Amino acid sequence: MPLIRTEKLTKTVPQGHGRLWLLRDVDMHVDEGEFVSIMGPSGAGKTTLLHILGMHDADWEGSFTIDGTKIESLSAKHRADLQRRTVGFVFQSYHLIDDLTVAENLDVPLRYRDVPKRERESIVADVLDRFRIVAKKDLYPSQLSGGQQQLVGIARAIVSNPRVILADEPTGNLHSDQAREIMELFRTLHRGGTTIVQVTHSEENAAYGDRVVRLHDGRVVR
Amino acid sequence: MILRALRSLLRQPAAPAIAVITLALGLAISTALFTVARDVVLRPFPIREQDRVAAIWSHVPSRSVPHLEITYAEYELIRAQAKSLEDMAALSAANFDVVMNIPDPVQVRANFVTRTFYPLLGAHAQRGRLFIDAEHTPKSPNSMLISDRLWRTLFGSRNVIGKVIDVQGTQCTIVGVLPPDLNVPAFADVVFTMEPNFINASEADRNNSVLEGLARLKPGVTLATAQSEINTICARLESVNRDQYGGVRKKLIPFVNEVLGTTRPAMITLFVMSLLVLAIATFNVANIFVARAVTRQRDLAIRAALGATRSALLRETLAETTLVALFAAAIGFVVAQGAVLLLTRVAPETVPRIDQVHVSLTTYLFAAAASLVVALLCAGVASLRRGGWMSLREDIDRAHAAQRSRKLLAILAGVQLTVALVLLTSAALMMRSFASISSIDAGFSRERVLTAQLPLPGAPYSDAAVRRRFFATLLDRLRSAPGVSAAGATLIRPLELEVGWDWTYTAEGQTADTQVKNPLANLVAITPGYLEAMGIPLLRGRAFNDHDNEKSDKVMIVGRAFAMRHWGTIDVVGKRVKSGKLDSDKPWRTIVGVAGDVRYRGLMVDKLDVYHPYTQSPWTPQYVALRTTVSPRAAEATLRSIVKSMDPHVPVAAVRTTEDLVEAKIAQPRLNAWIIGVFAAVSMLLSIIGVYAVLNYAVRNRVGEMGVRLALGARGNDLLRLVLREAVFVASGASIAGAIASLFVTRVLAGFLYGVARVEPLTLLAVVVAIIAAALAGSVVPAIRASRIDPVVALRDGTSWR
Repeated sequence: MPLIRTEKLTKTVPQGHGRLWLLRDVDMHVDEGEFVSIMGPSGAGKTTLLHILGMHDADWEGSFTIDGTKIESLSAKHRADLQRRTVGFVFQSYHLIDDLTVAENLDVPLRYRDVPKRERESIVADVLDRFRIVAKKDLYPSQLSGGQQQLVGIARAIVSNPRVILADEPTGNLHSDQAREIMELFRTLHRGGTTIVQVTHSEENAAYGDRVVRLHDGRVVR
Repeated sequence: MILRALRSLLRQPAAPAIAVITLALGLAISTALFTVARDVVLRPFPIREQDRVAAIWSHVPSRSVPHLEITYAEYELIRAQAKSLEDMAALSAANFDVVMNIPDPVQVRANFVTRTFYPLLGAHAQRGRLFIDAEHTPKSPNSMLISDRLWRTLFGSRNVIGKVIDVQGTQCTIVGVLPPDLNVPAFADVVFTMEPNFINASEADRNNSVLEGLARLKPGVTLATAQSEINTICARLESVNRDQYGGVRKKLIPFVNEVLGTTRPAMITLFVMSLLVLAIATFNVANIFVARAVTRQRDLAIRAALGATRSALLRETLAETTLVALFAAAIGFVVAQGAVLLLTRVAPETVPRIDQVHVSLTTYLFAAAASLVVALLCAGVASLRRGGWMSLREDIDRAHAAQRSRKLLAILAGVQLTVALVLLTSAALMMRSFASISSIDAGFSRERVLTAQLPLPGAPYSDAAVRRRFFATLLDRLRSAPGVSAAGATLIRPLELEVGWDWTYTAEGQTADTQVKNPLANLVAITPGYLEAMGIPLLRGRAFNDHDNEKSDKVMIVGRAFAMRHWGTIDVVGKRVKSGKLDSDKPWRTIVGVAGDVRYRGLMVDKLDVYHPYTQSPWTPQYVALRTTVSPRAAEATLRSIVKSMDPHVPVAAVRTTEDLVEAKIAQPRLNAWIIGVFAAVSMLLSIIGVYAVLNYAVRNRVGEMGVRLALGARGNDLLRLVLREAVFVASGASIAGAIASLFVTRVLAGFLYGVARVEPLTLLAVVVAIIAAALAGSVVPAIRASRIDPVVALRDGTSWR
């Protein structure tokens, strides 16, 4: 059974007297441990799909299951609980919280998952060590380069040990050397068994994954 | 530039509108209080070099008598010998009532002054002239001055100079009208010369403590120096007349303090507090302009990139803040006019010069100047924050700039809450103090008792027996009148004056050493029926009756505190007390009754009361008291009709219910409490708006961050708590700072408080809770908005909420 499955997933928004189709009848799946890249031109619906997979957006039609659980049948509360258990998110613009240090940024997802303080400190220390950023734990985001910030962003995404990492153009703001380092990191995580879904424009980045899902005008193109 | 500023403000009118309204409130309050403070306490009196003028009073430290009038003998001695004084004058320590027949009898308040009085003040008549030397001699024609108030109200501003008026049966000529703001003697409507009463007077009269001294110090002489010299001079009197002057010392009080009393510190305190409200409003406006500067940062950065200098950008902001301030000043001025009118109407008439408070050019200037200062401050603060943002880089610099602005705004909101806490603490203490004063038991009934003053005209009533007969007949007729259940008369009614008849006495069994420590008792001469009419409880023994007369044994009733002080019990019927010191030859008076204590000289003034039967006293009653079975006001007509039928020339004056007497005493503390209460309420409201503005701005600037937090697993409630926590953090800091500041501010208020400690932990705790509640109230809307942020939209453009 795939970890993620969508069937006829459709997303529209009002426009004038009618509706604008952002996603139309999207059928896709992601197996446990798979590294899938979603590609397509601007406006194809990649980020919209990623936010639906990340359960930030509940306003859609069709069917969407994670690990066999039908998302459309969940209440907002249960959907949020499932999201906290399942998903880690990486952003193109890193989106670290400016007035928190590196270590505090890593602590945020754990805090929202009600992990006890002592346990949080231990997990954060492990992740800092794993990502070799112990020396930077007390620095603020503004004191880091773009690549270092994204490194922290990925560390933050995996700190709560999610079933899947959703990455929205994770190297979009980085120059090529930094981008390669980040993609190598994803590859390492993937080899360690982490499920990854990334949105990317780059064929080179997509090549790090197992499979590509292409979108065009909100539809999956085979 | 002004038009451009106006257009810029109108593009997003909500925030500037809030700025105008809050600033208008602050300006209205401070302008109104400035106007009142200016006319009541700040404006100089129409006298020459008022800083060199001081009042001279006596006090007796060894007998705990804090305030005593001086004698004519002392006046003459000090004036003749004091080298530190340029001159000295005297006036009656209290006004007294006279009846002017013009031709109907009218009761007015009068005073006497010495020849040196007006020259010492350097005062001039508004019309006519002041007294000349010849009028200060025993055989002078009877001349008088009248106040501006009497001239306007009684004589319709007509020419009255030379007019002859019947005053208590004596023909007196009006020689001048005093200037309107010459508030000395306070509230006197007619002034006579003093010397004719004292030159050739008996030694007893010359040594009677009935005067207030007034001194003009020589240039460079301090109050302490003059006071020391005067005490040395008066020590000579003490050595020759120990009975009269033993232990008596003099104190000098600056003229302004003497005339304005507690009004001066009260008014200045209120004015300063109104400036605090204005400060809160200013912080609000600064908040709004800082937030505007941040949201317009890109626009300003582009202008800077195109060549605009920092001063040019400052001018643009200044144009906007000035426009807001001027709009606020215009609205605030109109509101201030109404507030001044209201304050002058509700203020008790005991506030000096309150009738002269008016809106004038300086009021306009104050409002305009205050608004311009606010405009400058706000523009300065907004530009200060803009200093580091002259960059078109939108990412890191901007995020940091927004973060720094949030801190500045949080500090501004914290200061607002701190000031609000100080005002709220002050208001709470003043209100508790007012409640304490209101709950004081004055010692008499406040229901169904009517009192009135009956000043008997001079000639027909010059004989004491005639006066006593008049009152005996009047009371008999009143007691049989419908609606009257009891009637009595008294020398002085409670709460009428802060001075009265002080009685030196010796209780039977006292030694000279213990007698000398006796305080001065409050002497009241009363008729039978007075205690019953006033509802003063008789705790032991009996009340006076018609058998207590000139020929019977001398008797007295004492107050409970008097009995307890001297015998430690109220079972003192049969004990004896006599006038004067131990060796006095006055007859012993037997105590026949013990009455409840009455606050005669002020709600907060404790004295030992003694009552003498009017038939055994040289003093004649001046006031009647009626206990009624109907509304006391309904009995007024009965009283007037009976008095008129007995003698149409006897005025029925100063008609007050006992409720009125108490109300008059609590009017000032109530007004103070109300004014500070309004300040506190407005400051709370402004603080709530301030906290709202700050957190609203913070949430707007953190939408992106909120979206990230949601994406990382935050629930709506987590974001709600995040915002509320920020409000509580700011309020907690403000509470600590405010509590410390309150300790200093309430030290200033201590003089106005009664029955309340300056530091009240429970009150402070309640105020802190109120401040935190206000901060939470201001944060509710931003917090709810934060909790409803749509993560998808927030992550996409970082500026939206549902």
